[in-house]
Amino acid sequence: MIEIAALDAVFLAAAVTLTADRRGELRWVALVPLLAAVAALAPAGAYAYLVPPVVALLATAPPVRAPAPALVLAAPAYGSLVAAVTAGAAYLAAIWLADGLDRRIEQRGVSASWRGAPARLLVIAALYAALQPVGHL
Amino acid sequence: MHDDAAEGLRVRDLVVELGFVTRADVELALEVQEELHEQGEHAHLLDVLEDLGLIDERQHDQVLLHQDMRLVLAEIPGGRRDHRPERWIVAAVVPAALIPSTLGILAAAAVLALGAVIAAGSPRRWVALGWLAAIGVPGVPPAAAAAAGATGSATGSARSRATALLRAAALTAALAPLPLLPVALTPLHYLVAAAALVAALRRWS
Repeated sequence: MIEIAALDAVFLAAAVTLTADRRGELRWVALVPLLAAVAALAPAGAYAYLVPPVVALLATAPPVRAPAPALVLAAPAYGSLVAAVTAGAAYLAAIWLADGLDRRIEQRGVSASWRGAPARLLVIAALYAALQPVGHL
Repeated sequence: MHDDAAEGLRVRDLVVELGFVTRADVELALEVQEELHEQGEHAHLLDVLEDLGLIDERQHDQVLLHQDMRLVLAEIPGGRRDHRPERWIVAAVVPAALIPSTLGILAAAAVLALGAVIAAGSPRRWVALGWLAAIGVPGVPPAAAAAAGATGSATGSARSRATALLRAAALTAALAPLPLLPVALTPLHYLVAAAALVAALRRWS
């Protein structure tokens, strides 16, 4: 089974969120890592292969309009409940920081083709790069 | 006007695309607009944004001008443009960044192409397709393939979603050889490349 790093998933989920139209369900999306971690702890035995798709289905169970970030956050195997809660909090923090930095970008100083989504993707990339050392702790 | 042409013309998308406000600002304005609607007052989204101090009068007029220009372009054969390339570019980047094998990325590309026909806006169908891909190609996380599909089919009419998904599938397939490079690529590389590609496509169109 390929291991997906939680930090990678958090920032890809943030990038996906920034391209989605509806962002009202962020609190639910932030709980998905915890859901994945709890499901991984369940004694599935011979049915362990069913756990990832079931988690993915549960992640999209509420009537979310933008399910993609929840699915990205459902992908990693979180090592512990603490790691899962941290990933959810990091996701919310990344969105909050990206929104804040995006608002502070001086729009007149940015070329028209880089405004909006490209600028936001670069902000997410910069946050990812800045938090890489923390992710290895 | 054709359904597809409507996409990219919505004020809520244009005002963000032009860099005047963030999506969070639009969400706030939509909530205020809904509250006003419940009180029997029908306000245009641009008026709400202006009342909230998020845009000024000049930006208000610019959004309307862009909307008019795109309406004209949409009516010209071959004049329609892809106004939201980030949707399918990010959809293509998700599996490429999460799946470290060429075969796995190709499987995700196949999921995107197949999903363009049978899954579109249904998250549960995307999960089912992702799971099938994981069974066929061990090592493909079901959620990663499903997330890519859900990203590409987030908004728009059925035809525009299918177009976005097919574009995403083509780009994903093009990215499949990257795990063979001697240098390990991280999501940082993919995010920066996605931003550059979106900007380049905007400039080109």
